[in-house]
Amino acid sequence: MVDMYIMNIHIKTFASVRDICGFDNITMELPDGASVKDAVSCLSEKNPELGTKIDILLFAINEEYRAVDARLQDNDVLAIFPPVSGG
Amino acid sequence: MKIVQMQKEPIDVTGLLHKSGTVEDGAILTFIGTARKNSMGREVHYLHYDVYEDMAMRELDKIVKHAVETWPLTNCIVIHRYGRVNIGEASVFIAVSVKHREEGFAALRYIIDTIKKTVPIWKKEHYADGSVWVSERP
Repeated sequence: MVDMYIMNIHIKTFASVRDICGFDNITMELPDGASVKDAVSCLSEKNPELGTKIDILLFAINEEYRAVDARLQDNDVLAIFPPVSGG
Repeated sequence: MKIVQMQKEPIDVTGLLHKSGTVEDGAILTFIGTARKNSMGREVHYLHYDVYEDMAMRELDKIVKHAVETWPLTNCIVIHRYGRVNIGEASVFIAVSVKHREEGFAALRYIIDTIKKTVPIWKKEHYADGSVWVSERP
């Protein structure tokens, strides 16, 4: 029964965020209704530096840019990364 | 013709220039971004670009789609490198072919400016004594 209220969220990190987190790809469990901000808070418990950067970080859910308060759905791919610097 | 591509290999600038234009057009406009030797007073040995490849392709496709819908471009080529880029090499190549230059300049500027804002690619400068993500530089 409890499983119904848990979402699997696939996290991808890039550039300096990957350096901070120490992984490029993990799956984490979050409660139903969790937002991007909740995912970042959860990751920040192990990697406090991540939490300090939340205002400058960018987020994408399933390869589309989304705001920090966007709600996650089960099996979403959440990418967390710093401002882009291509060109 | 539209070409949108992310690639690890060096960009064949000359080859691309040869196929950028058409006989219907009066102008080919290009922007070639290259890896600079000096950055903020430090000597750069090479660049490394990290990329979220699937999303980068989606964002590049959106940019090119908007450009060809907004300006009457016959051809539009956008190629961005990732991985290691040596000093002097092209990191990004953009070419548009168009009847009249003004529309080409506007399209070209839109494409490179938007790439720098939205495409998930990150540049890291490597020096003799370390490296820095450009996004983290004060």
